[in-house]
Amino acid sequence: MANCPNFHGLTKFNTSAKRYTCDICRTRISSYSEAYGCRSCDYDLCKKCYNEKNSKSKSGDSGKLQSLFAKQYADKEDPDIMSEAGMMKFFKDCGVNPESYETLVIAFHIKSTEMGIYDKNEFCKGFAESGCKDVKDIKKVIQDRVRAVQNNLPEYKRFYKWVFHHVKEDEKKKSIPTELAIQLWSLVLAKQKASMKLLDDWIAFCDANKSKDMQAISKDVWEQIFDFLLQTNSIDSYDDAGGAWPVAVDEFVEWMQEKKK
Amino acid sequence: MQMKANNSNSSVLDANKSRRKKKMNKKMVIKQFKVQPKLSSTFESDTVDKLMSAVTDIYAKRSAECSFEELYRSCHSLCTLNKGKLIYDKLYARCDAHLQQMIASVSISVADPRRMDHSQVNLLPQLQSIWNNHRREMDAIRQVFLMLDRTYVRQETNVKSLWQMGIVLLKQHVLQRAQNAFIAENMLANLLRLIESERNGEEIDRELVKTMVMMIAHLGIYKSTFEKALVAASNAYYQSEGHKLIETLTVPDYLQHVMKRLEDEHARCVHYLDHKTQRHLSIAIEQQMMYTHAQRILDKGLVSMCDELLIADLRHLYALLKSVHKITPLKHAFYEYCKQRGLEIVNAGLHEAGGQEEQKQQQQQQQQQAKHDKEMIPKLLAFKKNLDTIISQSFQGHSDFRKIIRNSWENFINQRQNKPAELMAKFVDHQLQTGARGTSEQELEDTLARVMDIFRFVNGKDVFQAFYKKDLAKRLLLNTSASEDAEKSMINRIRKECGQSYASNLENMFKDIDISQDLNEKFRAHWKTTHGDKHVDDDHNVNGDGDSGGGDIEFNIHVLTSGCWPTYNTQPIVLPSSIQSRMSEFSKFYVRVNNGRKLNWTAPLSHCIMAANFPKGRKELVLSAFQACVLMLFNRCNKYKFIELYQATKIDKSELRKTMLSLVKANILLKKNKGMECADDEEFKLNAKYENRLRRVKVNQIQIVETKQELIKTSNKIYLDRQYQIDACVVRVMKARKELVHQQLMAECLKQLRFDAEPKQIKKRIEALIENDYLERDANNNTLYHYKA
Repeated sequence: MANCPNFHGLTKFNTSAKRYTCDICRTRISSYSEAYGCRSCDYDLCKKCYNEKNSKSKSGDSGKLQSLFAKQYADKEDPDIMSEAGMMKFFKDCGVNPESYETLVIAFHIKSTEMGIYDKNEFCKGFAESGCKDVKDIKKVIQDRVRAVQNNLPEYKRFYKWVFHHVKEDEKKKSIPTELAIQLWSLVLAKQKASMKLLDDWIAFCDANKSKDMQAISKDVWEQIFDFLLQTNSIDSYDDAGGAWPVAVDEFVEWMQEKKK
Repeated sequence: MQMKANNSNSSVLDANKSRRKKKMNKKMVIKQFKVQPKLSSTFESDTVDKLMSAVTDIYAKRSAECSFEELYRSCHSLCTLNKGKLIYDKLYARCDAHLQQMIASVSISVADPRRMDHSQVNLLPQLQSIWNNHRREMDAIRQVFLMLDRTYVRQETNVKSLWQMGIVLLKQHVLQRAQNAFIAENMLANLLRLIESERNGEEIDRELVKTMVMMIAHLGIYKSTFEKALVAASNAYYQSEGHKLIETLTVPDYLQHVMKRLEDEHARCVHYLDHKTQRHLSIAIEQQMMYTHAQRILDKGLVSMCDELLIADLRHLYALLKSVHKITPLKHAFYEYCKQRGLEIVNAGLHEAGGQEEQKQQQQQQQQQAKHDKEMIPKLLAFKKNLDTIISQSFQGHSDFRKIIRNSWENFINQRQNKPAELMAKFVDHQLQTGARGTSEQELEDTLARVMDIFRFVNGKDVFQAFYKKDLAKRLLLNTSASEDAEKSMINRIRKECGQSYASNLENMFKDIDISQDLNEKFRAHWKTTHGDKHVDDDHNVNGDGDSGGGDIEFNIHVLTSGCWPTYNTQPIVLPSSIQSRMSEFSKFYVRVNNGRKLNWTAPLSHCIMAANFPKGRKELVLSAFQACVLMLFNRCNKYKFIELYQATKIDKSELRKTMLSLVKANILLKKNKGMECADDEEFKLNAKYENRLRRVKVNQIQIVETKQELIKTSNKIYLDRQYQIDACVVRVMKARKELVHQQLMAECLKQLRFDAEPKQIKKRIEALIENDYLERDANNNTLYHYKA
């Protein structure tokens, strides 16, 4: 399957009068004709390239993957999920550091619904869609994906948002426990530490308040804190954005100012 | 005429004679015409001379040589002879000469430089006499020359009547002659000086001024010159006076002075000025003394006048400011006054609490604060009463001022958030508890009405309700209410002010009490039929062994609808079995009567009367349930440790601690260690030497700490209630706008909410709404919200 660099999938659309350029052959796609693109990545392909790429790219093989899963990674007691040892092996096979957030990227890629568990069906479906037949393919796809997440900030944010959705216990829950959120932050945002100078302070703040009035982190706080940490380099250059930051952020700023004194 | 008539008569006689002769002689005789009587050639000049000499006589104030009648006739004859013009001209010249002479005499005396300084005023009497003479003379002349006026003057168009002529001549001499210019100037200046000295309080010759003003009026320069000058002078005078007095006088004195000035000017106009001038003078005073100083007067005097309740002076102020259309500054000043004084009362004793201050000092401050708070409501009531008096009696009950009161009160009373509402509820509670003591029913009603008057301005009506409910519950359950009528009327007032739903909870509480009484009756009858055979003893005999079931005890129960009453702690405690048996019986009884209902027992609110046999005598103790439970234990043993008591009663530790301390304080129990602390292993002993001269003793509970907790609890409840209001408000705004920037949303909510919501509260609610998918943040702009329908 042809895909955009960030694996969003390509959708068919008719070009308007605007100028579209094919990202493979670098030619202009004529107006009002068929094309395939991903709007969030601004990635477009002309019909010819799309078809070429589609025919060239190996189509995934769900059956092979299933047997691979069953043979190598499956839990003996529940063959539908990956065992602990299987996971370690899988991470090693894919060249992924089990201590890093890259494991979450895998889950992100196969759109896993439950944290810490790789379901067989999701595994097979997810990798088959990205054209995988064996471990080698999987490794390549995962490495691509990790790179995409790491080097592309919007993609990184999309991943970050997905994490919240992913770790929620069930659909109805609106928030995650602060304890868990702290762990996730130190895991997921570790690579961003250079651009998020206040990350450690924020985590310290959450840690201090997790047993008091901040027992859970809502989706809004989860998403807003990402922007906040990116925007704010020090507490002195804090931009209150017209007071629109969540209360937790306000309290954090107060806490920091207090601490400074 | 007479002469002529004689002539004609004689001719008729002659004719008759001749006719007879004709008959006799038949001879016609032709006679010559009789010659017309000829006037003597000197008649004209003689008469004129006679008349002129008469004029001279008049001028010289001598009695005339001939009688007025003769003179009149002479004038008449001359007029018939068409000599009018001659006489008129002569008369004109004569008058002219005379006036010139007269004026000249004045001029000399005034022009004398040596007398210049103090003779200025002398000019006026001279002029006055000239004018008076002139009037008298012209009057006389006019009478003599009446025929002239009637014939000659009437026939000619360009000729003025004699009186007019006199005036014109006078005017010419006084005003238009260059060498007499100083008269005109000085006359005005002197007049004005006279008026000014009268204004300064000196006695002046009003008659003189009056005559002069009359003369001026006749000369036709009153309006054009004199009035103008007078108004200008008045303006200047009052301007300087205004500037001077506003500094030196107090505002009430100043206002009184202005009023007096107005009256004076009015009197002046009645006495010697034209009544039309009054308006100009009043305006001068008002403009110079009020209009220009309005702001200063208000700044300087309004506050003290209102404080001291100077009704009359305020009325002056209002009337004066109204006449110069300066009511608006008064309104502003009054608004500021209300607000400032109100804030002072509301914020009385509020201190900035510093972190490093000693705790003792803080405690002192707190106590002081509490004292101030206690006084706040009575002070506010008094303040409101004063303001009402001022408006109704001084400001003519103007509706704008009532509006101002409302605005300013709403402004300041809500400055300290919920405190005033809370204190108001407390105040009402206090009134209703002690109401009957010392105050008549009418007074109580009056006070309540006034409280409601203020209550109207409070935004935190929910705060009031919460506290009022709590206090009402206490009054109802502990039966401390002073009068049921007062309670009912208060509820009515609340309903009138806040609507049915607001008051219905409170009404339900009354209903509960009524129903409970009924229920108690029924239950008592029920108990008698089931346990009736047991001995009946009127004494509440529960001593002896506490668990032995006791004798017959009076058992009263209030069944409270949950939701209508404040929430209480329903944690079960260990009660004596006699009570427990009744409780379980009642539960059965109640559930049988009202199917499907559930009863929760709230022990902390109950109270009882217990008989106790102390070694020194028998006492009745009025106790709370907790106290009673503890004391019952002492029937078995004289000494307990705190922890043992806790295990035996299962009363919450902090509650138990308070209960123990209250009993120690009442001297019923003895504590091993002195002081207010109470550790787990503290020992308590029954006081065998307990004495009290009363038979019935009420053991007070320790309240202070409790109220503080209750306060927090009530506030929390209010916050919860408000949460929904905030939610509703946010959703309402967002539903209308679909998308809105954070700040605008906040501003809109703060505007719409009737209470003072903290921005943080609203923000929290916005976040909660985002979480619940009512709103969402814009993907790119995190300060923009979208409404998700």
